[in-house]
Amino acid sequence: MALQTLTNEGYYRGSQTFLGIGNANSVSIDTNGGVGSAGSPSVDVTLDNVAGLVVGMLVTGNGLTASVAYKIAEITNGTDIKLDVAAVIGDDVSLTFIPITNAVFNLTTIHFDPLPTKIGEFSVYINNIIQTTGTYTYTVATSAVEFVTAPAADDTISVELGDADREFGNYQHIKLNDIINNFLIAYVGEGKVITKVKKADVAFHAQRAIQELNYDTLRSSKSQEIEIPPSLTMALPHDYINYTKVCWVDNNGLEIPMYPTLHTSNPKGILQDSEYRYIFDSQGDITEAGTSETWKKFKDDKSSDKETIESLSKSNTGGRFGIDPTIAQGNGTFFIDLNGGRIHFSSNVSGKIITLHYISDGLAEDGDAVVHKFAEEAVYKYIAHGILSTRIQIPEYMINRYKKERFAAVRKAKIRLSNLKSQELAQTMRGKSKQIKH
Amino acid sequence: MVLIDTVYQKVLNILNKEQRGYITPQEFNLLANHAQMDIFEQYFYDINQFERVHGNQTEYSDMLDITESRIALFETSISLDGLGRKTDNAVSTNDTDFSYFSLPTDTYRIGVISYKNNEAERVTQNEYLLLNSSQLTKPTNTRLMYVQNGYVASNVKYVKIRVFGLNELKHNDDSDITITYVRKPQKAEWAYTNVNGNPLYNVANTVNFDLHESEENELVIKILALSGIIIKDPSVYQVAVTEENKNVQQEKS
Repeated sequence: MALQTLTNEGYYRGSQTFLGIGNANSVSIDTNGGVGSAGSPSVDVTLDNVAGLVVGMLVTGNGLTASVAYKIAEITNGTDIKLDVAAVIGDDVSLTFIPITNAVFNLTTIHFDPLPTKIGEFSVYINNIIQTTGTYTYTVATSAVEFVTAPAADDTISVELGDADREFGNYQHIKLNDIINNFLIAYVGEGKVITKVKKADVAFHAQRAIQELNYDTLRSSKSQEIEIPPSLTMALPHDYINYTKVCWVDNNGLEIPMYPTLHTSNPKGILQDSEYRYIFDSQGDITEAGTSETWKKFKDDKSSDKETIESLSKSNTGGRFGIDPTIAQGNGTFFIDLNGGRIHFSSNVSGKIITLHYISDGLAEDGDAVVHKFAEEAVYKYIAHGILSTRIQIPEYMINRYKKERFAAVRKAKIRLSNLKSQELAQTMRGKSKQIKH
Repeated sequence: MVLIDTVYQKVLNILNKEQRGYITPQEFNLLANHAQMDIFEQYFYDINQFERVHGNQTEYSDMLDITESRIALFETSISLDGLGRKTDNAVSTNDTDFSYFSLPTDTYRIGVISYKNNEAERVTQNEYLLLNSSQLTKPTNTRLMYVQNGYVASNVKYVKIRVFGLNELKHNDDSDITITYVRKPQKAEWAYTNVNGNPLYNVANTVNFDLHESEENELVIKILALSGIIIKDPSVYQVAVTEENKNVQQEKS
C-alpha cells in the first residue's frame, strides 16, 4: 500500500475537480393554484400533472422482496408538497425538480488532508471563474459543497485550497497520531515486548520524544522577523524554548549574526526614597520600577560595540594580544530577560530588521504534531524505553536493550538530519589546502 | 446455534438409562441456561489462557481462533441511539447537560467504542481527572476516552458512558459514536404445551441455544452433571464431570 494519500492534483494544486451534470434526471411540473402573495409567501405548493416525477428514494421493509429495488414512482395529481423556504408562486407555473445530488459535490480525503473545516478555507471556481460564497454552502460533517443552483452540465467545478492552507513537503513527516497507532500495532500485545498499555501512556512518551528530539536532533525550522522598535526589545515567540541564532538583516538580505552579551542584564529596579529606603505599597509589597537603570543605561549608550571596534581598528597597529573574542565584534549584542520574556538589543541595531531563529518543542500548535521520518524509528524506541523503564517487573536487560536501541536510533536520526551531502562536503573541503595566513 | 430439543432428548435418554430418573421441562430450561452461561463465560477466560501459550498456524485448529470465532457469534456493532441522557437517565437534547449515553440493554461486555473511527479508551473516573489535567495526556478528538457508570431505573440496570474528546461529546455527536459489544446469549427455552398431562414440544415458541454448534456435547454433559444432582444420582454427576474433565484436558493441555 502506498503511503501517499493525496492525489497529485490534491498535492500540487490543493484542489478537487468535478464535472457538473446540470439538470440531469430533473422533471418539470406545473403548479395547480398559486401560493403566497407579495409580503406573505407560503411553503405549500399543489402540483398538477405530476406523472413522471420519480422521487429517488429506495423503499425497503417487511413484505418487499429484497432482490427488487422499490422506489417511490410518482406523486399523484393534486399532491401538496412543502418547500423548505416560503415563496410566492403563481398558478400553472412550471417548476423544475432537480435532484439535490446534482448540486452537491463531496470533498474527499484523497484530495484534501485534512478536509476543510470552514467555508473560508477554500475557493470555488466554475469554469475558472471564482464563485462568491453566497452561491454555495459547505457542510463540514459531510464535507459537501452545495450550490444554490446546480452547475450546468459539463461545467468544470474546482474546489481549491488557499495558499496558506497548503501543506507542501508534508510527506517527509509522520503524524503523531500515526506514530501512536503504529507503536500500538507493532510493539503492544500478547507475545510482544509490551503486553498491554494505555494509549494515554504511549501518547505521553511519544510527545516527550518529540520534545526531546526537537531540542537537539530535529532541524529547527522556526523563525521570526521583526523591525526592531525604539524600545530595543522583542517579545519571545509564543512557542519559544531556546534560540539558535539572533541576527539582523543587511540591505542585501544577508543575516549578520549577533552575539549575547554577558555584561549587562535587566534586573528588577526597586524604588527607594530620598533616604535610600525601600518604598512599599498599601499591600506591604515592595514597589518596583518599570524599567531598570541598568537597561536604561545600556539602551541609551550610544558608544556601541560597533563604534568601539571601529575606533579600535583605527589604531590597529601592532599585536592585539589579550582581546576577548566574545566582544570583539561590531554586529551588536543582545541579552534575554527570561523573567520579562523579552530579548533586549544593543542600541546599534535600532531600526534594523531582526531575525530570531529558535527552537520549539514541536507541540505548541494546534493540530497533529509531526516528526521527520528520519526520526520515526527514534520515536518508537523512545516510547518503548519510556514505557519499559517505568514499569515494575521488567527485566533489566530488556530496559538496557531498549536504552541502547534508543540511543543508537537517536544518533542515526541526528546523523541523517544533519543533512551531510558528499558534494557539499567536497566543496567545503576544497579550501582545506589553502595556506592559513596570519 | 444448537437445537435445544436435540440436547433435551439426549439428556433424557442418558438419564433414563436403567430407569435412573427424569427431569421436567421446567427443570431442564433452568439447567440449560445455567449451562449455556457457564460455557459462554468460560470463553473469556479461555482466551486469556490461550493468549499466553504458543498458538499454531493451522487453518482450523488454533485454540485462540476457535474460541474467538465462538464469541464472534455474539459480537454486535451499532451506532448509539441518538439520545443523550442526563444524570438521572432522562433523555436530553440539551447541550449543557452531561451527555451520558445508554448502552444497549443486551450488552454483556463492551468491546470498542469509537468516534468517527477513532477508538475511545476506557478509563476510570479518577484516571480521567488525572489524565485530563496534563496537556500531554488529555483526550483529543483522535485519542478519546470514556468513563463507564451503572444506573438502575425501574429495576432495569443500564450501562452508561461519557465520552471525552477535545470536549465531552454531546447528544448530537452520538450517531458518530459506534459501539462494538458482545451481547448476552438469548435465554434458551424448550417450549411445550400440556397435552393430557404430558409436555408436547412446541417448536414455534422454542428458543434454541445461541452457542456454536460445536458446543452441543458440552451442553449435554453440563446439563447431565446438574441433572445428576437433581435426581440425586452421584454416578451420573460423576460420569459427566469425568467426561468434562477429559474434554478440558484434551483442549487445554
